[in-house]
Amino acid sequence: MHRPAIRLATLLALAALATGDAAEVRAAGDEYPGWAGTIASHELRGPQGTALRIGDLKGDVVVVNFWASWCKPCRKELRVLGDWVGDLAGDPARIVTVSIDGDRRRAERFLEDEGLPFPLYHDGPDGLARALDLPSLPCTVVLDADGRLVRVVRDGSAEGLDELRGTVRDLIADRVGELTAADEDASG
Amino acid sequence: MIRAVVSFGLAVLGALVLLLGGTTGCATVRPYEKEYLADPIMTFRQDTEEAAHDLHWIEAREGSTGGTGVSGGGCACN
Repeated sequence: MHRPAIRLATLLALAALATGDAAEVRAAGDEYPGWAGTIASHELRGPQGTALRIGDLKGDVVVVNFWASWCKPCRKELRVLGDWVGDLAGDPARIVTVSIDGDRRRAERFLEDEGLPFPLYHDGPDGLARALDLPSLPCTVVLDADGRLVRVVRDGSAEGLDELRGTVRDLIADRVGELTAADEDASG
Repeated sequence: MIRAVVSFGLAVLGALVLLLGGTTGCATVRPYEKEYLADPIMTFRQDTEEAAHDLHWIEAREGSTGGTGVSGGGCACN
């Protein structure tokens, strides 16, 4: 007897969740207009002269962290992100850490000394950081699998990182759901 | 009378020049431009590492961690 009511309530709850996600994406995009496009089109220089365009990572949830070896909160945040790398293995997600050090060797030395598992993408202070006019350092940006800006965390605090982790987890779950549904459609 | 007016005018002109000179010396430093400002050499004390060590043991002795503007603290144990 109550089944239609339960179904309706479930649908409303799902709609509310979806609206909430969309609102979050819209809010981040409105607050930082143009960031998603600028980040996607910028080419980063990686190890051994390799290049990475974040726009090419569409299909994965991407966490972009801006850091510098001279920035103490950034170093703390990088250590936390370093712990995430193992947890995210096998998930459709990538963490890209972008050094804005003036001198590439300082960034290299820091990553080596700390044993952090990130390839060094060195961009300097006049690259993407200036293009975005970064409002703070550290600054961490989350892009969903479609390359849309979902969240910007500016303070590097434990609470901010916890929220960031939650957002990334939700986005990965969404993406895994999409991929599973696509697989089922293909096989069925 | 004329002398007083001229003196006043010169004083105002001088103040304006100082004011304009002062304002042009101000610049906004963006977060990604602070590499040189963040360098330990920019502190007034030359021996920055020793200063940090001194501060650490003063905080431990006095139980005053955070008193110099650092968040958190209390035990000074790390």
